[in-house]
Amino acid sequence: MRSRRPRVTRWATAGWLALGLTVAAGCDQESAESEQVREAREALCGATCAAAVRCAESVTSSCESNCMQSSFLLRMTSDALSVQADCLAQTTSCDDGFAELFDGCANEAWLEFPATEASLQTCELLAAPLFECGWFDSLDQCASYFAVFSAPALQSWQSCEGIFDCEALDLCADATLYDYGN
Amino acid sequence: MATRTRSSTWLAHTPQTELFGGAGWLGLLAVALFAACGGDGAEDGADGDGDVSVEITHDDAVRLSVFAGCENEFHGSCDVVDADCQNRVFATARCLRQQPDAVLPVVRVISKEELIAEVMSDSGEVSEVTDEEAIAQAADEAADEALTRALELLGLAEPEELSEESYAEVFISTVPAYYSSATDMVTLVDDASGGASTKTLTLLHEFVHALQDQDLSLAALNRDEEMSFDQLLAATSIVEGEAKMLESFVAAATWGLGQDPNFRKSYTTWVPSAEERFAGQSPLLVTQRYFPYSYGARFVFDVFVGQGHAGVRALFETPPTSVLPMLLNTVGPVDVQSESLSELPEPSAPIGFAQRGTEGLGPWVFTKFVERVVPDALDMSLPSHWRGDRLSTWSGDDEGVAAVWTLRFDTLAAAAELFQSVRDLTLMGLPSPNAFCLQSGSDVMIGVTGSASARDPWAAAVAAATSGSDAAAAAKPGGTRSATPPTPSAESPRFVPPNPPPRRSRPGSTSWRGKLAQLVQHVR
Repeated sequence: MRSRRPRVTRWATAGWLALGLTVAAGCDQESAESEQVREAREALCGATCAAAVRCAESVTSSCESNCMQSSFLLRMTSDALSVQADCLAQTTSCDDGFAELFDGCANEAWLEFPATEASLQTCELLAAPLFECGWFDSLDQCASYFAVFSAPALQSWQSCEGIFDCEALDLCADATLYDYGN
Repeated sequence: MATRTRSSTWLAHTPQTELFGGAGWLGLLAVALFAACGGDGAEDGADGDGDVSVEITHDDAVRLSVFAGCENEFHGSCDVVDADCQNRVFATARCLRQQPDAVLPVVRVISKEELIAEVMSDSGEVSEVTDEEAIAQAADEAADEALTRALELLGLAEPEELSEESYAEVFISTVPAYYSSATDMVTLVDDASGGASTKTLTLLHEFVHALQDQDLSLAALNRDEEMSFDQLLAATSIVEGEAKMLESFVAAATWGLGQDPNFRKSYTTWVPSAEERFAGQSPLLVTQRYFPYSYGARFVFDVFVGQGHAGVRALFETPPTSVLPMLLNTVGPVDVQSESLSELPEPSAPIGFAQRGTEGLGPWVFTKFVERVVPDALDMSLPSHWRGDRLSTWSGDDEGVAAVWTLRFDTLAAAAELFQSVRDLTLMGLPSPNAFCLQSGSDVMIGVTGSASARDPWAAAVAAATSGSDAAAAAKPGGTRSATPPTPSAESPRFVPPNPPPRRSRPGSTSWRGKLAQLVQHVR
């Protein structure tokens, strides 16, 4: 049994919400991002909405634009976005429903990436609470897990340093990494 | 309930014989006795450190106090198939457990498919037995069947859930490695999940079991077929708890932590996710996959802090007889003992019933009973008042199964709380249609029968057994037996018609699927 850790399925949550939430405000992060990241996000949102339609989900016409403004996706690296977009585009079967499909592709992205300097640094900074809360077995496992997030996103997550209460740390991760609002 | 018979030939040839040796849950608990804690398929996505490119060096001496004397031992990741890696990891385990002369066990790697084949072939294996053994085996099977049915009637398992196949399934899906004391061999299951760091820690965990075995003979710990579920869970928790504790020391070193983290806290923080994963499954089926590694580790760690390695070793000589002290030590060690209910008189079985066996489920299973059967009605601290239990089972050719679960508490108030709640539930046909509940002092008896006609005779028999020999004599087979409950009095057990059950709101769904369903509603 592995220990509790941020759940990959949260990505699916973000994806689901991105399909339907109306976004009121603009996003500063978006203006600063590179063209490459934007294109990757467009590809993912396109693939996500297409997959939802393919899986016979009710999807609004604003699916892609809402998805594009999901702050959760804004925190991803272009590589992570691309891997999931490719997975969604290539998986034509929808036997287990859209949620499973989205989840599976999110898992694939998480498995894909080696640790980065930024993710390793983040894990070193948060090592004690992450160890105590049992989110990961090891530093390198932690660093690999967070490699899907961009450096600015990880910096934001680092602001959780000093929190040792596991629930509070979970909430802090929610707020800084997994939050899907804008 | 899965039933196995012992066979020395069988035992000698396959590691799983140790794992599945013994009848009933002796077998099921033994499944996990020497196994590593892992293989969480549901979250495998997060285990993906197989492609880690960042080089983490471990040349620095470990500064953790728990590593004292082993500061310069290996504490990194390596390829567990590699002999050098195995030697280095074993050296660390040997140092931490202070066994300088220990011998490296054989390590083998098998595929998931090979594991499945081995487990399944063990499941179907039949051995030759003498007539005497056949009679004993038949009695074991009858006891096993009655117990399984009793657990179902008590709401602790679904029909067919406690089959041998179910245990094999749990084993296959959750065990990434195990040590067999029958062959002195560590088996690693080679699958995609888990990276080098996880696998290295798993190997270390199994090496600790090998060390325990060389030191104290692990096989002796679970050989007693008379051990109750509670006893066996406690013994398993010592074995796995120590392995998990030493694994956590190495993990902390691997993290590069400069000072001791809060180890105690780390052992149980992951329990909620384990329970989420096993949600809805019988505690008899899944408890062994997480309790020993969490509560067991916390208990052993307390002993280690107070008495060092010698104290931990002493636990193997005289393991606790219940997991009670492992549940009550939330802030530190507690001095609390469970009580044996073996001397309590059994009810005189109504005609047609023969006693099949007795079992001690323990405070953990009681906790799960409360969660599963009476979640809204009870103060959740009630399980902490548990002090002993005995589940007795009977069955007859035409009568089906009857069972009485006697639970003892440390206060009358706790017993009354359970009694009142369960009594209300029985009116609603819970935990099964013919259930009844009585209270006698700080003991509560929950009875279940497979047939409606057996309910009242059994309720009367239980009441008689608890209220004195005269009443008990009246309820003996052939004697005057009443189909109606006895008249309550101040001295006699409480068996009064229940009040109408209060209306209770059901808890909302907190599962991921539930949330997702709500979310879908929202976005449409």
